Amino acid sequence: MLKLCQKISRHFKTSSRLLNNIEVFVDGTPVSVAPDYSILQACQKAGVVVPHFCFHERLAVSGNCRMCIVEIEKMPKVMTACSMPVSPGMRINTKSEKTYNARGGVMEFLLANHPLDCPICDQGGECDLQDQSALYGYKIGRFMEYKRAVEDKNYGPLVATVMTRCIHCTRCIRFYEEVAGIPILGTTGRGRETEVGTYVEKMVHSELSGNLVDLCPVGALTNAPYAFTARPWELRNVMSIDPTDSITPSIEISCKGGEVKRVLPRLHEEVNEEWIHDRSRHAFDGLKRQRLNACLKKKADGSYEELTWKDALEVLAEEVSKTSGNDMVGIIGEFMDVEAVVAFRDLMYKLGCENIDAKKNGVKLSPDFRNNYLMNSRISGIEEADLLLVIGANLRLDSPVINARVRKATVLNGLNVGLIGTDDYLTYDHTHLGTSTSALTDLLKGTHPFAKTLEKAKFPMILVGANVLKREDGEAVNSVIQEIAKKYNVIKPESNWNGYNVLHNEVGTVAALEVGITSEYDPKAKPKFMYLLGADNFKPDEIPDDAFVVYQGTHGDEGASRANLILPGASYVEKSGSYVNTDGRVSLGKKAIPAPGQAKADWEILRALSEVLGQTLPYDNLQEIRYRIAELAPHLIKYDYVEPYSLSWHTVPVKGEVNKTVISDFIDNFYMTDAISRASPTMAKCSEAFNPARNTNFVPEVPIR
Amino acid sequence: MSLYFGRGSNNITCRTAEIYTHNRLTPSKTLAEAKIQHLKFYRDACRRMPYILKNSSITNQIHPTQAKLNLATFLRQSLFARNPRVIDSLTIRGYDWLHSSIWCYNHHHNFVHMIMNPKIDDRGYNYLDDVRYANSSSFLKDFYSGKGEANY
Repeated sequence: MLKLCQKISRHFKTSSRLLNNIEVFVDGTPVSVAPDYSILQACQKAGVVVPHFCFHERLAVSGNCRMCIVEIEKMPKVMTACSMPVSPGMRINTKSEKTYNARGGVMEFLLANHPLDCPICDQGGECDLQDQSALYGYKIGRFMEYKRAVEDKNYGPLVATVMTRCIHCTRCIRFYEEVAGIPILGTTGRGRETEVGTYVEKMVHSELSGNLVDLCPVGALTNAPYAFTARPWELRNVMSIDPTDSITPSIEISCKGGEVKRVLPRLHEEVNEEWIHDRSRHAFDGLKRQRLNACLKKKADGSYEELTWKDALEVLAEEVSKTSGNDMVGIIGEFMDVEAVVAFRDLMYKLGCENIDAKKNGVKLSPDFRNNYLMNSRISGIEEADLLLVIGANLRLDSPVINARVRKATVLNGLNVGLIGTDDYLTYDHTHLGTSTSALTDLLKGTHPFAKTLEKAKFPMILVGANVLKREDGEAVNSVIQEIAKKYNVIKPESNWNGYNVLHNEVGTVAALEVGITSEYDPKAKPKFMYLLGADNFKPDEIPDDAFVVYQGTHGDEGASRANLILPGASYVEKSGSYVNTDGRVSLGKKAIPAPGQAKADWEILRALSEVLGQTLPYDNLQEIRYRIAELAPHLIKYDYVEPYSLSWHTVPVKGEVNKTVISDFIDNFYMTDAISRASPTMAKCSEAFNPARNTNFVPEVPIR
Repeated sequence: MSLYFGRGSNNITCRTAEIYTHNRLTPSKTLAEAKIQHLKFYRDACRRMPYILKNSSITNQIHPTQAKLNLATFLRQSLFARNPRVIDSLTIRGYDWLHSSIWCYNHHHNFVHMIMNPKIDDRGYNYLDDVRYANSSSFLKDFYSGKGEANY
């Protein structure tokens, strides 16, 4: 499919000569490059480092830092490598005296107004300007005048600004305009008076704003919550993934001692490119607050008694032995790894309980075939599609990283986006088809004006937010969506295209579906024993008042407040585990720091409990439990890989009556969606600062989220 | 006391470097005698701890009070010894260390494990675990005692 697109796009080139590679010489070495390469890219291909500040692979070329200038033979002056295309036989000199002098000159001008405050600058040690001035700058300064000073800007509580340090590379401006889709920043003034900021003073805000810090090559924009806590050389970096986002973006967890200091994104072209949203990046400080670090038993007066693991498991075993399997219910939490889910499944089945994950607000999906519940076109498929119909998901809040990719596709490929659900500013042009499920039925009948557009689409993509499938009529809605998919030819096995996609918001749900856990919620059932495996976002009316509730998890949140017995679990930075994202991609999370207090990895707790119950599970370490996972689903031990599966087989959902109600907006506060972010002080600051009610002078007609 | 410090001085008033001047480490005859010698060594080391830390330039890393506590923890690891000659040998080795630390013959890298992060083990107590977790598998024993290997 990708190859096909490339082939088509190649036909639009002006000349057939452009199809052929051309040869250029970098420092005398011949390199064969595509004709649309810039000199900088050609140099990169030749393995020659060209210093630069403003150039960034994912942003438009601006060519204003002038640092990448190189000498080109037969050209009278040095040229910027990032903005100049290659031409056949071009001879590029990156090591000549002319280049050296020119670079030194540029560096001298950059440093003319850059303060010499590296010892108190948070970027010190990982600063492009620091590194490049040491390598390419003159060793003496000739600038005796006063340096300029610039007023700091308000970029919110996540980005600290020292605008005096800014070198006007305009990466932040281009990021906001091109990736975040909020054209709010710009430069004002000329020459010495140039400033980056908003023209009219205003707080800058985006769900992706943390990425500005990574983009800024100097210390003008730094990570505010991390400010002055560590230097980069003191940090221990663990390459992991973030299960709090359902696409499991690749992240780098930086720790100092037993504490996570910061989280940075890693490159993963098929998942997160190089962006992560602000909750992924900054909510980790919630892992230090409200933590459960000991086994607790609720006493009759409502206070808690601290227990050892041995006592706690014995209390639990006694309670379990009193209850029959049919009276038990197990609920799987949002961030559960596959290991914990498998251990939980095995234990509950051994106890005779089949009501696992029987939630009132559970996703009504069948685990029989993988294309029933996964994002079948993949995240990267957004760039191949020509039409995207989003149903019941506000992508900007549900998954800002996917939203950035959709925005990219709308700009570069002309992706046509339709939305059914609550309308919002999604950072790109889109057609709003309706807020209720009646828009779906209209589409199915063909009476909706958007139906013609959908009909014409070659590679249409339907993205269903998991929250729609959590409605009471979830299965009926899904049935309508499947019929729409059938009618408009969304699934095309001959083109290797399945445009039916589910956007999950909990990796725990995907893990449960992957190992075949499914059960229906019975509203009449009165369970006597409930096991909440890290589940915090449940409906309180699911739990009868007289039920014995065990909560095994990380935070003193909703689940723990209802529990009779609390078992402390390790969070995603404190245990190694595998997670399945909404794509069906299995990724490996790594342990970065030890768990606090008595907390243990979830599967270990379940394994220990099984032995106390006399139903010992047959695995003692991570390797053995992964063998067990492989028995159930062999594709779950192939990491960073999506196992191919049939695109045409799927379970037909049972038809039912669809309520004509509004598909409501499910995220009321982007910064606080789970137990970790609810405990995070940084997220609390963001909730306050970015509360839309604070930033408007108008009295809202309807209550603001 | 006079045998130990000489000229009526005591642990507080004696000079820092005067360890071996009057202190003749004679072989102990009884367990009590050996223990008292060992205790004296500990008191000597405590008395000189600020000096040692200052000499080794690690005052910014550890406070003398904490260093003394850590040294006590380190010495307690040898509590199982009951033979006076064994205890004496420990005392002699202790004085050797103290002497060379005071005269700066010993780099602090060689003794930070004693005063900065002594390894605390449960030697002498782990037999309790065998009783407590008698019928458990090795996994459960490790789970309860928190000793198992980390799973990565």
